[in-house]
Amino acid sequence: MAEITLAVKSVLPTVREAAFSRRHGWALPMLLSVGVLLAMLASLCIGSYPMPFLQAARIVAHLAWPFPLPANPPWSVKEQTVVQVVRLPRVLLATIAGLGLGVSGTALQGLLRNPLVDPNIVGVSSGAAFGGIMAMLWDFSPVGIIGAAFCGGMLAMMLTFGLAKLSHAGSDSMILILSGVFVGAFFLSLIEFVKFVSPDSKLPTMIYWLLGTFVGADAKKIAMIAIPTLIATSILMCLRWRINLLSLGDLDAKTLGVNVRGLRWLVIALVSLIVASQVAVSGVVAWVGLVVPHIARMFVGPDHRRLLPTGALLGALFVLILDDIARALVHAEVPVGVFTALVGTPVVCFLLWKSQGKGWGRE
Amino acid sequence: MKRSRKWLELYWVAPLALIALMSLGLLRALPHQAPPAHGRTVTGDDGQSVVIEEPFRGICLTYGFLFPNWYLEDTHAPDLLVYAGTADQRKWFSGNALRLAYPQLLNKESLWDPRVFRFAHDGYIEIEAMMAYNPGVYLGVAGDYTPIPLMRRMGLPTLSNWGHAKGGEKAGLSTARVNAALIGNPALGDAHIAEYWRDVNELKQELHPGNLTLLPKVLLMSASRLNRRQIGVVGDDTDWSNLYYPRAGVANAASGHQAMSYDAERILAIDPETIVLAGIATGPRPWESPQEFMHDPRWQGLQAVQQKRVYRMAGVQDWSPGGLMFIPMRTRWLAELLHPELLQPRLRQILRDHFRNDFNTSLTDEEIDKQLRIDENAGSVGYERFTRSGAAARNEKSLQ
Amino acid sequence: MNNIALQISNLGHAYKSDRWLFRDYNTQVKRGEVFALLGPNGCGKTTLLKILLGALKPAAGTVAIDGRMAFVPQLFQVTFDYSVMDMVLMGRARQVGLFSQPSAEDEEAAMAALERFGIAHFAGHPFHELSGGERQLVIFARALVSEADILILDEPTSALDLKNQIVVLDWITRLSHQDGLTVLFTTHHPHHALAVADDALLMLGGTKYAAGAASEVLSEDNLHALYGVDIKLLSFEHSGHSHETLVPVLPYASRARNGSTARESR
Repeated sequence: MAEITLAVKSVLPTVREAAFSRRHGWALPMLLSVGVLLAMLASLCIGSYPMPFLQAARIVAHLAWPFPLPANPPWSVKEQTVVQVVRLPRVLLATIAGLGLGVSGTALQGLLRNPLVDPNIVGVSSGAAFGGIMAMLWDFSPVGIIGAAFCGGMLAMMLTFGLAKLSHAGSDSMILILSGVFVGAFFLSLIEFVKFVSPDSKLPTMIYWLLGTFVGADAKKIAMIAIPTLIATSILMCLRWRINLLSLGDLDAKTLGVNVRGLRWLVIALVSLIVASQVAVSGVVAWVGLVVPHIARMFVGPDHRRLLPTGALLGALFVLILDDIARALVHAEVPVGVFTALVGTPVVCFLLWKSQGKGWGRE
Repeated sequence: MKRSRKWLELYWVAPLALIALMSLGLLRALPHQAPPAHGRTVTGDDGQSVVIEEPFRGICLTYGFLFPNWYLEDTHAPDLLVYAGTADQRKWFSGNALRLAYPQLLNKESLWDPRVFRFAHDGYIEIEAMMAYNPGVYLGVAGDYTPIPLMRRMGLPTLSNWGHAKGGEKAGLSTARVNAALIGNPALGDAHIAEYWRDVNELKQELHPGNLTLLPKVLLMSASRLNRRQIGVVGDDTDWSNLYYPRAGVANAASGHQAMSYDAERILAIDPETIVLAGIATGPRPWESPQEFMHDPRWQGLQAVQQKRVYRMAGVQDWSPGGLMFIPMRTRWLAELLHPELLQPRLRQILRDHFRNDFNTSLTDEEIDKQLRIDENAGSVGYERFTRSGAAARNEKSLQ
Repeated sequence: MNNIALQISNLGHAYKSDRWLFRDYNTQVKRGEVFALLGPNGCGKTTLLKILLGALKPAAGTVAIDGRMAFVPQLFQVTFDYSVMDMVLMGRARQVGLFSQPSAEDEEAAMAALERFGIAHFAGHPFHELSGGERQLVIFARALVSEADILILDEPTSALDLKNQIVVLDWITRLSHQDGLTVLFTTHHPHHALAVADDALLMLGGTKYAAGAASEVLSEDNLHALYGVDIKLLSFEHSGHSHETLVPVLPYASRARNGSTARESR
């Protein structure tokens, strides 16, 4: 009896591409890491006070190197103050916020099996903003604000999933996103309500916080965003292959031996933590979490082992460059959220047109 | 080979570690700025001192919209300014009475730079642009949401002034002292304070507000012409209620209310005898003039409109609120308006004297008319006493 | 490990109380055999599969499973355009630590599984672009690398052309014979069940069912009861082997062909 074999398609180029991406898949994130570093140093040279690139690099290298500074540094006191107090905090804030948004958007898209979501769309950002504003109403400490923002973000996600479950849609991602939109809208109206009832003495602070820009970055704010973001990002990086599994579908992942519920809530908690700390420090920044994973996917494909680091670094680069443009070209300080939306929406529209709807939702 | 691959999978650690190290670098102590070899110490209104290097390199006014005015009122030293404010502040100053004393400031481009400072939301300050001015001292209002703490941490010589958030008399007095000390002439501060008390006491002796039994009720408010919901009133929580009303012998018709956006019905319910339109609303300018107000259908039921007792406040944009020189003048205007039978109309003369004595500037009658808003108040009852002829006639009458 | 891979005892389920889809089912799946699950639409096949996979709690009775399961869904779609290699690697979820990434060994195992199914050349190919049969084989490879003992397939041949149906059925037998896997599959084609299954379960509704050796259970009477149509059992010889197959009898068409109906003339 003759063996039946499947017809072999001509797939030679694809095989070669695949081999390349397997062997050099880490190269792009590496290149991006270097790119982010260079962009950070270049950003330190933007501003009214003159600062050569090498001088900025030297100061940052000495600041970051965990040993005492030289006694007679080859830079002036003013140069160091400009870097340490004015520019580096802002550059770091933009970088870390972008990194967090990139990583959380990528993880969330994988988790919800839909490339159309970002933390803003599924209501995490609004929930976190609501938590933060309540904390400010009750005069919490910075840690308390992050904690409350985190609880708000988690609450929003629980409500989103709960609502989707109520409609018996289970893990149907379109229903899940719709629920997220509803929950987000609900939290936004709660924020408006709190703004309305809060005493006049607290209102300016709240509005200032909600508008949130990268202006006014300092070591305290950096600590507020860096510690949660870097820790949660590291854990997500370790889990990044598992996000592939989560993106398969509940039943399938479960039969492969994945603890779907536990893993999903772990990822949601980490994403909420990142978004909460970002919102607590720099206000709601939309679209980054949606645009960046798309661009990253164009570069390295859908495998989250490569996608997550690439998304994180691209997010950092994206927000950092946008902030630089805001800082250098537009002298008026536009809130960064406005700017990301301004750039993000056309990019999403372009991707939508380019992909002709492929990979958007269900076939 | 397999071992190396395992390490390669950790490539994402590198950028995160780099960012973490840079963040930790922020925690390093800032470099110590050597104190100036020759300097004098000035203490701000928050108790913090600053050493100002000699020779004095001038003053940079930072956080505080009315800083140019307060500074000039207190010091009469425009030449020490190296930075006065933003384009907005310049525009505001160009409509202000003090421009008559110091017209040269408006034409000095370097004093006004829109990039250094923004008042939107947060009072953001472009520290780097400001560092370029390199003055002897930066003047600002201390507070958590001002750039002053940051400027202090950077080691910039920063002096806090006008620190009383509510403004009022205390802030004016301490500001006068600090400003005088700042320019190295403490005696000038004492002189201004003495002058202030002289003006206050003069009015007190003429009016004897303590003996008045029936205080006329007046509502200070403003209504935006563009946004009809933006109606502001002076409630219990502003300087007016404790500083101006008792000294002018009047009562606040909106007593028991807070200053905020009001709806028209609340004003109708208050129905004050006299309405003074002061620029206090949160809404967009322009505000309604007395003429517009009296023809606005919303206000036709008010007794103040029916009796044409609606006035534009004198010096509404010309006199900086809270300045030591103008507090007594505003009080006096209110008193002269509402107690015509008790007070001689002397405001024109007082204004003229102040500008001549303090700024060595002669005001023309037209300039005084503009500050007293004679044109706008032409249709209101009894305002002719503030006009040139009115004041003269009245004074003649009292002499007889 | 005993000889029984899967034991169903007094199993029953109802989505609404007292509206039992099936009830008091008792059967067992022996280790290493191919087991077919047959029933018309709506009889509760998918529900039973979900119960076996642990995704649904049965209303009554118990399921005892001895071994690891792997599931091959009916229509496999993924939102993201993973490569075939990525897909197969996902089978290693149990072997890779929670916070680790698949190692070189895992990739070698995945490659070996792909080679076993003769689709190694697809490794770098996007899963989306494969045909239905190729996808099915990729999922088989994934089940193989997951080191599962029990393979559960939901209508593995339903969306395939004839040739791919045969390829997949052939692999079901091979996985059972050569790899010792227990394979349980649902199907709408009784002749597929007869061709490859050792045992079968016919879900006749309510408390009625037929379970046992496929050749006995898949009788003409049982199938008539199951589907309500006549199905004939045919035996024939091919290449020196005897074969049996099931052929449905089309009630009207067969009469028409034999001339016992008159075509209406216009």
